[in-house]
Amino acid sequence: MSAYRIVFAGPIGAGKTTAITALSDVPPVTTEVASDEARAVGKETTTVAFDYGQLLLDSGDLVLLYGTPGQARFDFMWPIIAENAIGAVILADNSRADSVAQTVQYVREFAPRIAAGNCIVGIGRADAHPSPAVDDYHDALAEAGFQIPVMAVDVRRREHALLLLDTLLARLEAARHVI
Amino acid sequence: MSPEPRTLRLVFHKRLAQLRSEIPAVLLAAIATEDGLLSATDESAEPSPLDRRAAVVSSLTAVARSAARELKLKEPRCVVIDCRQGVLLVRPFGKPRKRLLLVQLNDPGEAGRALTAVHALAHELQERLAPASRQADDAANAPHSPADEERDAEPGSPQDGTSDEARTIDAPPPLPAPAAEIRAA
Repeated sequence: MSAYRIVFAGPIGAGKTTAITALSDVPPVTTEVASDEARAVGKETTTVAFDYGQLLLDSGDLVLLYGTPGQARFDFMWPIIAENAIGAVILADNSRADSVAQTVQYVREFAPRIAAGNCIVGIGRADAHPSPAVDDYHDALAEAGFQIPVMAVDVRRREHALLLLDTLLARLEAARHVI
Repeated sequence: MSPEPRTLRLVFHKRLAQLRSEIPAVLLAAIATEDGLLSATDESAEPSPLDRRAAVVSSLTAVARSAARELKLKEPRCVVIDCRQGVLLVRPFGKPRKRLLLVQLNDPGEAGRALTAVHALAHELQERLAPASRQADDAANAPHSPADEERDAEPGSPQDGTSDEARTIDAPPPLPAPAAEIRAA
C-alpha cells in the first residue's frame, strides 16, 4: 500500500475543512478555534494549524488529506503542509468580489510546492453566485501560465469532493507521476 | 483591526509589563487571541495584530491540543518549548473566549518561576474576565427588547469598541491587590 498526500488550500470560508470532513474515512483531526474573522464570512470557527483526514482508495492506496489555514498570517504552515504533496486542491469562494485574483494567487503559492505543479480549482457557492464563471477562472489562470482544471463544486456533498479528488488523481496518473 | 477593546488591551499591557519587571529573564510577554491575532505585549497595548508570533503560537497551541486529544490528556494547561537559547511558555486562558498568554525567557533556569507566574496571571485574568463572560451569556439567553438595542448603542457598549469584558475589568472591586493596582495605574 502506498500513501499520497493531497493538500487543500484557499481562503478562509472556502470549504477546506468541510471538504476533508466529507472525504475522510476516519474522524478528521482539526485545529479549529472560535474567530471573529470567521464570523465575518458566516462561520464560527477557523483552522489555525491544519486539518487531516484519510481516504482509502479502491486500489488499496491511502490518500492523506491535509487542509491549510486560509489566512496569510498562517502562511508559515503552508510549506510544512505541502511538503511531499503530490497534488493540491485550491478552493475558491465565488461570493467574494476578488475570488478570481485570489485563486490565481493561491495557485501561484502552491503550484511550485507541489510535485509537477499538479493542482485543481474547485469553485464554491457558484449556484448562488454564478459570476464570475468557470471560464473567467480558466482565462485568468491561463494568463498566469497555469493550465489546470477548474470546476464548480459544493464540497459539502461527498460526491462533489470526490469528483475533485478523482480528477486530480486522474491527471496525476495521466502524467505518470506517481499513481 | 485590533482583536480586543482598547480598555482591555491597556489592562493586559500593564499586567504583562508587571510580569516582565518581576522576572528579568522574560524577553517578551504577550497576549494573543486563540485565532492568532496579537492583543497586547509588555511593551505596547497596541501592537500589530498581524504580528507573526501570535499566529505561530496559535498554530502551536492548536497542534498541542490535537496531540493532547489524541492521547486523551484533556485540555493542555500550558505548552512549553525548551530551546537552546531560551524557553517559550504558552498558557491558554479564558472561557468561553480563549486567549493565549505567551512568555519568552532567555534563561531556562527561570522557567519554573516563570511558569508559576504565568499560571497565576492567567488565573487572575480569567477570574476577572469571568463575570463579563457570564453577563454575556445571560444577555445572549435573555429576550431582546427595543430598550436593549437603545442601551447597546450607548457609549461603553460593544458597538463603541468597549466590550462587557472591558467594562467589567474597569469596574470597582472586589479584586485582589495586583488587580487594584492595575486599575489605579
